[in-house]
Amino acid sequence: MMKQITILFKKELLDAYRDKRSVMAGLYYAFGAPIVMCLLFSVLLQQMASPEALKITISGAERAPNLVQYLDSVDISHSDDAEAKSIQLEIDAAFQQDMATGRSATVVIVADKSDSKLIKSVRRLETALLRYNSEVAGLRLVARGIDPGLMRALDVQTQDQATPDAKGGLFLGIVTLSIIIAIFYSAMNLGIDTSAGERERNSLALLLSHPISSVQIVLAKVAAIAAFSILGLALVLVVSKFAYAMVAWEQLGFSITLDLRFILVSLLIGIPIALMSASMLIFVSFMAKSFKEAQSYVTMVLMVPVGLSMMTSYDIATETIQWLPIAAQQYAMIELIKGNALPLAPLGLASGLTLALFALFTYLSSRMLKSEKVVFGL
Amino acid sequence: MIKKRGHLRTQIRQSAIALGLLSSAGSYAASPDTAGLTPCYTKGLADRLMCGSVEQPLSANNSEKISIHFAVIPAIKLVHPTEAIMAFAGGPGQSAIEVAAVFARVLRYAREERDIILVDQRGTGKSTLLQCDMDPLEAQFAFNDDALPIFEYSREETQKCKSKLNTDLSHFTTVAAASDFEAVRKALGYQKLHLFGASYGTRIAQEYMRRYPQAVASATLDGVVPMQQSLVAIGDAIDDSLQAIFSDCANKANCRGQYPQLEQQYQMLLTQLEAQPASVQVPHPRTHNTIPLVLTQSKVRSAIRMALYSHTSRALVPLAISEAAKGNYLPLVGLMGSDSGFGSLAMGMHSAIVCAEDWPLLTEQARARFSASYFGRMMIESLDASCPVWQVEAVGKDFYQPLSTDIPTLLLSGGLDPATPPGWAELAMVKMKNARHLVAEQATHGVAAQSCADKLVAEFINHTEPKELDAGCLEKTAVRRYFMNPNGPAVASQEP
Amino acid sequence: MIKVHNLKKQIASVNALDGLSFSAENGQITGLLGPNGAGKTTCLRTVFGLLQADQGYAEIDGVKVHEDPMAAKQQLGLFPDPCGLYERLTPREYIQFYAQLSGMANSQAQTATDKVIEQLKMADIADRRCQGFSQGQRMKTALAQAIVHQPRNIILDEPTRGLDVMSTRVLRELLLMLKAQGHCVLFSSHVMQEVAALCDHVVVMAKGKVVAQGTPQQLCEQTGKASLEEAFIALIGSDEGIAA
Repeated sequence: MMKQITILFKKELLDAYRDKRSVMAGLYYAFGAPIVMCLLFSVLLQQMASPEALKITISGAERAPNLVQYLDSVDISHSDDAEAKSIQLEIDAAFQQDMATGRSATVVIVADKSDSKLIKSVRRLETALLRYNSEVAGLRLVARGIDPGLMRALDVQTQDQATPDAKGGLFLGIVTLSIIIAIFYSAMNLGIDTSAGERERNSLALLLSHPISSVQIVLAKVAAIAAFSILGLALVLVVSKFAYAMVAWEQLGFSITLDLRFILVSLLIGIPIALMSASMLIFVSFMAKSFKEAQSYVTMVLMVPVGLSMMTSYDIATETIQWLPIAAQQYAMIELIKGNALPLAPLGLASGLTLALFALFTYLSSRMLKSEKVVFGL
Repeated sequence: MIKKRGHLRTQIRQSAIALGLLSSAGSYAASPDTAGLTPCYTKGLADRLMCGSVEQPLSANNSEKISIHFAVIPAIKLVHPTEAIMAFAGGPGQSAIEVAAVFARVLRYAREERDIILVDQRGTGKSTLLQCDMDPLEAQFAFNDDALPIFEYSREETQKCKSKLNTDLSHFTTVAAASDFEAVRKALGYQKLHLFGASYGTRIAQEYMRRYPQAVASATLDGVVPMQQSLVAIGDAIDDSLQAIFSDCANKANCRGQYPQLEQQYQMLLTQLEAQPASVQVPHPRTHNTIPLVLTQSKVRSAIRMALYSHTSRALVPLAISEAAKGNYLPLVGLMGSDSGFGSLAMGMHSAIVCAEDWPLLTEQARARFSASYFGRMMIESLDASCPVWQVEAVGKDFYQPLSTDIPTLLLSGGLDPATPPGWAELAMVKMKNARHLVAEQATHGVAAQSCADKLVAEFINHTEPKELDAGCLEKTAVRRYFMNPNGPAVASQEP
Repeated sequence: MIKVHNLKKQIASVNALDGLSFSAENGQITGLLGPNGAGKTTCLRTVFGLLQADQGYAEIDGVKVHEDPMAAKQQLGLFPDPCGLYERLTPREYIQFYAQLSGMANSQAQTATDKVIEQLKMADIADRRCQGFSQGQRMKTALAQAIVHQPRNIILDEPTRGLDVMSTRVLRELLLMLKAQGHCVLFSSHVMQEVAALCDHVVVMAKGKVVAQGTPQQLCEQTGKASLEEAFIALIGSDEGIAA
């Protein structure tokens, strides 16, 4: 039993290894995705960050020299550049009068808050104004002989249990998404080639004419495809480890560190997924009538795992979905990056389900290989 | 003239020389066990820290142990796992862990890639806190501290504190503490440290550099205390810092208009109160109960002195003086009632340091020089009274040698600093071969907290090239305009 | 020995096999002759268990294919149409792979592969990838694969298509040798000359049935024609789909 599988497995590996084009197409993803992501993230971070010296348009600056001076000390200053027009600070005509008489002096921030590039800068301006506000208010109390600490009726202390590694939020989701997808995409071409392709090249019938059962054929092919998936996974993990380390996450107050433990555990978690993915690729490819058809079916079917993964990434997965294959494994990977304990129950269940799917797809595929319609593409 | 309890408190607060950083005190939640590190939190900082402690001998010829507690603020992205920043708190007597929030803010850019280690120096915080009792605010307000000579009273209070603490302060000096920091470094396994010392913290940082140069990658000294100078020299700095307000106000049309003759007003106020302290009823700054206040010249001087530390409170100084001269003491009450950030000094440990290291430096010549200022005189008198009681062993002569080193060192001074003026840094760096002194003319005490120096410090730690730093941004001022009335710096053209 | 018994198979409303029965003996070359669409390939695929007969069965050395396909296939070598090569493997790898799959141990398979490469005089192409091979080279490789494990029964589906003269001669010699060694050789063809030259026994097929069978001579006698070709035309009623 194992002997036949091993012989075919070795042949499939050799065949796949020689098929540079489809192997590379898969591995390009594994290699390229983290790098492309990092470039995108870097651009994004840059856009999200507020410029060191923030230039805004201040009108009525002469009415509030102290405020303008304060803003300048935190690197927010007036400029006549067109760029500075996007955030305007209007100092009310009665500012001095109101300030001197203890009334609230009005300042108006004019900005388009839907502009994601401005959000950080607007928030920075708002924070600066809030600080100035409490500073002046505190001094007003001191000038009246009152401890400004009175304004803090509650001393709210937050104890954030997250480590800097756990604060990546959406970014963690996208990083793990790109890793999980690598399992599916790095062997996609190979999976189609070794099934629909083999049939189209007429070698499948000859193979079936030999003393090897259809289950053995399917298992050997699944093993070969899964091996490439794992190779793709290993590659994406290693490239990610170095690529994501280059992104200046720390500017946003968190970091994404993929350590050796993460890589090893991810590989382990990835094995059932790779088996499931491989058996699914074969099943879908045999379902299709031709190589071309198989390609479009596979692309469609892969939306399912990608969708599950996306739901986890964007944190919109419901409680139920979090126990499903892919979603649960990705969740476990996120927890691992965060430095939390592995969620063993969902991970175990999902891995079990994943293996069950692998068994199902394998069974169905081997059944199909007994059907002349499938074998001869009738 | 009667002496009362509480006097010493005020005096000791006056001798609380080079307060490191203005911050509210806090206690950290977790009690770390000696074995591993445990997560912990400090007041004002949401981030999860890791706390731990090491056992250290109390002294070389003594088998007694002391637990030195420390906390690690984890790097955002640990790019340099073998390096860390070690931050030294001021005072002396401040707990570094309690002010973790301040260090986390000042060192936030530097923290992006490196952990920050905070050690409670022996005698502070959780490392065998040596604290004397503190009088409540009501007692301090009511007490007439001009009634008796400081000397007798200080001695009496010191004796009380001594019997309470019942320990030999000689084990709590800078020299004794330096090895604790090294033990923490070794326990945590860092190969190299970037030191960040603030105020008195610069003295222990320099001592650490002298003893363990191989462990130091760089040192940033913010508000520098030179090894060869007594802290008592602070009196001049206080006077200069206040004088800067007087000159500044006289040079600005609106301030001059609102507060003409400010300096003369201040002197007159002091003279009046010296002759006859003012006894008034004021609302308690927090409870608003009416309480008695005996306003003496030393209380005024202390309140104004403490206001000199930050730009924010400096903005109130002209108003407070002017109002007090008119008999309205509420702005002064506000200044006296809201400086709670200084309450956390461990006065026992503070005395160990100043009596072992600063008091023995007071030669006849030095005494004559420092006595020129009010605070100099007060401190000499206070130390003369308390140090013979504490009987702290004087530190060796080598301690006063200026630090000779080629470790990359960045010295920061504020031109308006009422504690460690730029001249002190110049004195400290005479034998530093790879040092750079940056002066932010418009900064007060603790330059890194009030200018772009936080970025410079991060850059310096990353490249350890003091000469390469572009210090242009230090010219940017954080100075606030003076309050023209109790509502703010604006002047109303007319009442509506 | 290969035996088919009353095979019936319907493919898309056409009776591809319609009660087909014949047997191919050991030590003989049996030719399956019929026009295109007569059901030759369907018949052979059924023998290999690739197709399930609606009725009847195929038997190899007494083992019914549908009952124990593994044991039955163990004693078979197949030369398929089309060849079914792996383009990215060399003939040596290809042949050896199938040798192993047919149950030979690694070293045994290696020796057998070397031998068959020599036998078919294909040493010059043995270590080139199959991609871009000429039809003759492909046929040789496929043939080598069919006989490498020395099966008692060898089935060849249109083995001479596209072979050059030299290769055809090699093939003939080979088949004769296999016959001499006592193998059962069954091949399908629509090339009359080949059948006439090689076969000990000819099975003429049309529309899924055996029209006639016997030695070429018997067939000529049966129809009263001088040549097999004419006999064939007489048997199936037309010469459509037959090559001389």
